[in-house]
Amino acid sequence: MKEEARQNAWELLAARPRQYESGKQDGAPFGFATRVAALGLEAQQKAVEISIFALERYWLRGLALAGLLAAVTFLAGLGQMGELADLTTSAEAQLLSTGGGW
Amino acid sequence: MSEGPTLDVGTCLEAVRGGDQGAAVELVEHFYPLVIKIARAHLPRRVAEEDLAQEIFLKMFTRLEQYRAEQPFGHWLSRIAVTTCLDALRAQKRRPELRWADLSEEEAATIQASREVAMKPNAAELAATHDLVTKLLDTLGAEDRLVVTMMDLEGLSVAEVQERTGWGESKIKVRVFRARKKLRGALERLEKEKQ
Repeated sequence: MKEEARQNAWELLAARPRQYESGKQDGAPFGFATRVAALGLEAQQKAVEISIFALERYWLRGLALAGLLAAVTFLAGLGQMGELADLTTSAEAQLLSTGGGW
Repeated sequence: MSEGPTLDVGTCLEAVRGGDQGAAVELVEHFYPLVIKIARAHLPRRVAEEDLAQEIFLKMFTRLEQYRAEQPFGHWLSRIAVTTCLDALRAQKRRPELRWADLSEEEAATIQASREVAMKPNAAELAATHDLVTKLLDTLGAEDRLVVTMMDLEGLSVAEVQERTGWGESKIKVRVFRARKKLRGALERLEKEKQ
């Protein structure tokens, strides 16, 4: 019995505060809701403004970056196509010089 | 977590999104009991419950656009409240190991009295137990503390803890197992110190 109680020491202790009533009110204290609502609406408005500001400020930069990336990708692709064309030409020349056919 | 018949939450939220201050006040007043209950249950040391409640409501307002009516508003708000409390608990330093000398006379008496299951504690003893339990919880890490408070003090089930925290079942079970083990160990050490 004593050993069991030792094992359940925490459980026995934890069961007690459930019956504890702090005596504190559950309702919002006077002025709390008005203050928090005002601050909350202000914060909400700020969050919206920040997202609009970020959109306005960065959309042109984003567009420019996307264009730059597209150009780089295009040029890299063009370079690879040139190399491929050179390879094809030299293979054809080699084939013609040896007198081979298709 | 009830949303009572007195407030049409959907209509109220629409008004709040439109910047209606009266609706915002109504929303805060309606959900204050839910928020303050969670804040009190997981209140870190040296943090006022009203400050924590205010932080929770401010987060609610800034994230209101993200709320989808698929789940009750109270559940969504509870999740915000729990994560805010968890952040606040993480920010506080853990109390070092609790020593017998750290306990008040009433708290020390509580340890012995809690073994006598048949005895019904009076209000003063319950208050002392509450303080002792808070001190013991302060020695745990934030997540362990949160889970053990929900399950052992609030009496929530694993599924309910999952709903409030978004954590997996095994994480919750492992956390609560470890936390209980630590708390039992701490109580045992205190009793040995006493002897």
